[in-house]
Amino acid sequence: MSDDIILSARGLCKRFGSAEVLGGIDFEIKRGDVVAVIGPSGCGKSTFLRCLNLLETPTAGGIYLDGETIFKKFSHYLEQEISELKSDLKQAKKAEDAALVASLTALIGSKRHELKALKNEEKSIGRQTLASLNRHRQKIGMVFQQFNLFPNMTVLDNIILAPVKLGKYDKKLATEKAVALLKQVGLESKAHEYPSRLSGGQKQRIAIVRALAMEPEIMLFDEPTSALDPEMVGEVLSVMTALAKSGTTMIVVTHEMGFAQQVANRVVFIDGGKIVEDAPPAEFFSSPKNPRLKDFLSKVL
Amino acid sequence: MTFIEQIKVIWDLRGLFFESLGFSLLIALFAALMGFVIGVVLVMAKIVPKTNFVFVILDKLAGFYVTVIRGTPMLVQLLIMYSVVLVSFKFSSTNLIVPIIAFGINSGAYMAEIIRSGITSVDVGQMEAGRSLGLSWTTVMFRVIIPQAVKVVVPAIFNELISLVKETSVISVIVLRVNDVQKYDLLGYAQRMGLAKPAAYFAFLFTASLLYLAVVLLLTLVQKIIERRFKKNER
Repeated sequence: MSDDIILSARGLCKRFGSAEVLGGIDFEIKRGDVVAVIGPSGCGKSTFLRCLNLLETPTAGGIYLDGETIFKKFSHYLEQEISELKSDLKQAKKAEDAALVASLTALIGSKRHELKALKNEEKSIGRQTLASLNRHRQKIGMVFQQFNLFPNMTVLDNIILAPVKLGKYDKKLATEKAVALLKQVGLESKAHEYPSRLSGGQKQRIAIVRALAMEPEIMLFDEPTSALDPEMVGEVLSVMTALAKSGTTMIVVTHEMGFAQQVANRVVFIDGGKIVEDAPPAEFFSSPKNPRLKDFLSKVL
Repeated sequence: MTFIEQIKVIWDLRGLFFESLGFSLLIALFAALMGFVIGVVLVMAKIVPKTNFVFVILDKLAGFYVTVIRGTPMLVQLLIMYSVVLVSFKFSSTNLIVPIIAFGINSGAYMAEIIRSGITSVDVGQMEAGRSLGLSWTTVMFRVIIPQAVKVVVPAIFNELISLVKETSVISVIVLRVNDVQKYDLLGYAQRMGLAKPAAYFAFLFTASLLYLAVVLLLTLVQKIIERRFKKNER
């Protein structure tokens, strides 16, 4: 069962300065799953997605990709525990409860030991991740709200840059594959154009192709249609629908409820930096349990 | 001295005027090359992700360099180089290296800021998109970010080149020597001739100004050509 899980996160936390954006997210996705992530703006859904491929470094938590630990940082939970134990110890000393003082001291000692071991482990994982981060990211394709095509290259060069540079395919083979992918999204005629000559919808379809060219195990979409003119949303969504139908594992942060309802097989609602509902779309939309979700759905549907 | 006489004096000295202009440009050229290299190194130190302690130190050093060099006058830097730091070169038979190093170091600080502004002008999404594909920071920097930054910095780089050419006029306060013969930069030569023929002092200064202006116009022309070429691309 667990080898079915391609990507998972445990206790994922992210703070920017004093603002806590993610407050402990537990999440997993199986191969072939299409998960739609929805939530009010500013709820942390984009940050969550960006943490998964470590574009943002989480403050705490663990991320596991394809059986490998790519991020692990739990030591500060333990640190917190120790500092709580210390204040307990102070009170025990005040109360002159010798037995409690002794047991607390012993406990703190063992926890400190544990902390040291954990910190060492985390450090070595951190070092490994730094060395293999690019390899991990090759397994995770990402599509951005603002497309982020490289304007200094033609469409074709945008697509083949990564596969060629990273030695996945030689230039000839990469070009053939790129052209095949472009055909799938109906843009083979644009191969030699520069991005500035394309419409938003075309840019986003190219951006999807660029990510697919690395043949990732999972695709992350960060509000892929939010920056598009309304009449171009459809062409991008239909490409994504076709991808989902072909069995691609996808996590899609979106405001397109229709897509979440019809294409996703799981819908996740994030509010206040936590996953508050995680259900198949039929159940998610027809009988939401969480009151915040009910309120949200009543506004958007 | 009549106007015609003054023109004749300058015409007779044209070879030496051009020679002194040549020294000014030679120093400016090598200083610009050196400044560019220093600038690139400083920028790399400043923008590389701070993944370890060494990079943090390098960033601080680069910041210190820029602060000190931009915060003190060029003339002072030149005199310090000439009479303190590179004093062993001061009396060597050819000491062109002194102003080249002084101006190169100075220009490096400005070039660093120019290049950095160009790189930061490129949307962060470009780096994120490249990294999300699994490309390394260096690859994205050189294949995606820098090609876009180059276009942005062309005007500022030419600005720096132009002011560098003009600023070489402060070399007139030091003694240049080539193979044990005293040589002059453009302003230095105009001033020396002014001392020899005070009646034509204004004409000498005016000639020097015209020559500086001509070089600057030429640089401006080159800048326009380069900018036009960039515009033609990808549109």
